[in-house]
Amino acid sequence: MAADSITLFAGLPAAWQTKLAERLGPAHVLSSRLDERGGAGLPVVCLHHDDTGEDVLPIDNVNTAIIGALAAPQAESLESAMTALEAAVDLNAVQPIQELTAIARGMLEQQSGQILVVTYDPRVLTAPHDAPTRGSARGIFTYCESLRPAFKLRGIRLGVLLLAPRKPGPWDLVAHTDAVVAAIADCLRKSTLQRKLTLT
Amino acid sequence: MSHDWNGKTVFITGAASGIARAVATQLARAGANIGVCDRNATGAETAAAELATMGVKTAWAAADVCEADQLATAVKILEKQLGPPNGVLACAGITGTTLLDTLSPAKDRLLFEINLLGVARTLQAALPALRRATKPWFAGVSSLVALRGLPFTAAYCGSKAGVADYLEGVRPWLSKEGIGLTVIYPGYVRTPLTERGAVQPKIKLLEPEQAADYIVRALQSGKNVCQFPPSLSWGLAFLRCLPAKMYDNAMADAGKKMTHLKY
Repeated sequence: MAADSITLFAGLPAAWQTKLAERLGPAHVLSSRLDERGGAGLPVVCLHHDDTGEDVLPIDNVNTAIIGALAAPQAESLESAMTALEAAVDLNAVQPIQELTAIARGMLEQQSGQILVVTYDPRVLTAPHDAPTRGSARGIFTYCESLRPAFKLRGIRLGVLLLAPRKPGPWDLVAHTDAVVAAIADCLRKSTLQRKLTLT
Repeated sequence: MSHDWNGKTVFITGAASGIARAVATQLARAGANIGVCDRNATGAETAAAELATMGVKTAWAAADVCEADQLATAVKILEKQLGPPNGVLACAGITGTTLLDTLSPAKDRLLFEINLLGVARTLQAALPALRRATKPWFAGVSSLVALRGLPFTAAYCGSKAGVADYLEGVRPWLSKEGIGLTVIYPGYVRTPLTERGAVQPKIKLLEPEQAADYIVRALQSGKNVCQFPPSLSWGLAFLRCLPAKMYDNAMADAGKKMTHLKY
């Protein structure tokens, strides 16, 4: 691991970032979604795109990354479900995949690193209002599940923490900060591949 | 939703080729009028003309499932010629690999855009027309790989898993409106998509006509879920039960045997 290697947070609520930095030590925040999540006063790393705007450039020297896929746009009806789904797929699949790609490219060079993706457990999101969140969470979860064995062979540990709310959304994630931060720290310490955390 | 296809109307996306084309042919043979929708205008027109030779009414419209406006216009064109659809089959999709050395967020985004959002957009565009039909139904095509992420195809698996869960999520709303829903999970089928694909599984591919048999039977009996072939479906269901570590080891071994792709 490089001496200047860093811990990186992407797409996490500011309250989680602050607590995680207290537990895990100095950390940086990936700037791509700062506007939506609010800053926690941590140093910022930018996600850069190439000239086409389609591809992302590698972020070097990351040893640990925690990527949130935690958007939960509610669908009020069949009519509004499409708009909510587009937002959910963008925030929970497209953007996390961009971030994961940028971070993984740096880690693949080093042949080491740890990535934890935090999203919702699609199995518990049975209310139709949560269908967009459910679809996008299942998408990123399955994406990670498919890539995980390949990452392992290259020395990179990829895990997924699935948050399982007990009631239909919307959910107050900040209210669960302590439980989620403890679970994240535990997953990182044990290199957990997949864990479900029920939000009570 | 049990169907006597004679005189019924079905709109199908991606129907210029592959599984969708085979389903269109079977339904036309059974007497259903077919609205062919495809990004490939020439292919859609040709398919509609060939289906019409079976003595049913057909219409075609070109639309890209990435474009909601195009889909809405296509549904209007088809409905104007054939009337409200009794069923809509959202079959348009693409395949693609996700390899660690050539990770491409743009390519991955396109898979989600077409395979997940494309099906959802088709449902959205077809809703007004379905609401005007009697005993309407919607069917969306996912894949057996949605059951558990397989090597080399992360974004494909993710997009197909996403669409299956999204459709299951909105099922109660569709049901409330009397619209049936079938989520289709095909195994590996020989289509232009799989023939061009980098991942060639060492299993016998189904022919599109065999896939169409399974799908038409499922639509006929109004099944909520259609998974085929049974052998692969059971295999994936078994893999789904494996703990993550065991599954990863099995997939790592399987991945290493794919000598033409670097895992």
